[in-house]
Amino acid sequence: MAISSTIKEELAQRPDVVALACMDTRSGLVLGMEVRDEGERDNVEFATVSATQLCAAPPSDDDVEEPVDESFVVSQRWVHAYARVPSDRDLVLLGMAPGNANVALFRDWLKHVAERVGPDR
Amino acid sequence: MAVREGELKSTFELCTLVDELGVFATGEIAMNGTDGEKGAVFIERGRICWAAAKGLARRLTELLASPTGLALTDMGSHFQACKDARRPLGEYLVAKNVLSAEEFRQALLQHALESLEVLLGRGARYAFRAHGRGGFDPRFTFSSIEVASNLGAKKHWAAVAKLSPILATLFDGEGEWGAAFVRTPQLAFPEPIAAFGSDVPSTRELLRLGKWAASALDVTGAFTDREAMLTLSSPTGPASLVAFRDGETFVAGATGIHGPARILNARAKERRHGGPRDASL
Repeated sequence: MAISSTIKEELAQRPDVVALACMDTRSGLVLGMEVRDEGERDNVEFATVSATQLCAAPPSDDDVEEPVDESFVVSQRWVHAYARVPSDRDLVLLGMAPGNANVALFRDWLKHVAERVGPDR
Repeated sequence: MAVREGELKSTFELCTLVDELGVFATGEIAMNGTDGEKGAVFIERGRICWAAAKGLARRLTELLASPTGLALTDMGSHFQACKDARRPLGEYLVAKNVLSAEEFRQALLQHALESLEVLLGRGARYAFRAHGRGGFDPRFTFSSIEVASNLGAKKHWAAVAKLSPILATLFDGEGEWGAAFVRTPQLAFPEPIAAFGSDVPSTRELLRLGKWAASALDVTGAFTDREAMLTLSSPTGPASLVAFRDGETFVAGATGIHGPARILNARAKERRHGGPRDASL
């Protein structure tokens, strides 16, 4: 399914989620972004383009960053979670939820969305 | 026979060298400056045992006398007694209950750090010679990480006092470790000031992870709260890498699969009890 429509559809079903976006870490392009609170758009965009660095293991001695399947950033106010798309590991999905969200459930849901994104982009 | 030679500018380079020599390395790292011999660092089974620098001959005696309150003249009689018994002074004092093993250990570590300051620097050359002689009591030897982090701890003791219990609480599981770092304008990399856990990596690896954490937390700070915790699933196993700030310091470490949830739970509890910030656990 197309990325934009998938994330729009998934976000519509989760009123507790603030934003969903998808980044192609190879090209550096943001392929889709849905934000419920327009005031957070800049932060969501910044978090999305940070996927290249934040969803990768620390660089090795020869500066190679290995992609990781998922990562998350949790503060008192926000949970930002990243999940790689299994069918195209260059793609990373970002989800953003309020800080009181259940982090484990939110990550599980984001992985489910990541499984829906990819093949037909 | 010299098996390895080169320049050693800093304690971090020395600690990296000790790691590279391996866990079975025993021998002497002889140090030379532009004006000749400066002293030596002794290692046994990959641990730093003793550092001796020209001009610091009496320093250990002073450090040993300090916690005991003994006058240096009294130390002289102990020195003679242990010479007669052919035992190292510190070990003799511990055996005679003049000072505790921990006091002796701290004095030795302080002496090593002060000696390294004299031994290392621009133009300081080393030659490592392996030999089979040993005999240092393992209780009074130091891992490279212990030396590297204590170098920073001496300068940032208040931060260490605050962070040590946090590290001990958060990274107490098997295979877990955590380290605290500060950034200073003098160094090109974050300086470790404390390390805790059962599986702390090598100095080189620790400095690499410190650099990664500093950079990643700069990125997260641009779109979320400063005290946010970053967690990465490890590509090689069930462990997670975590990083978060605490004031001017930051922490990076590895936890088990449930580690991040445990940390988040501790933070939530702290907030419920009116804690000032996320990282002040």
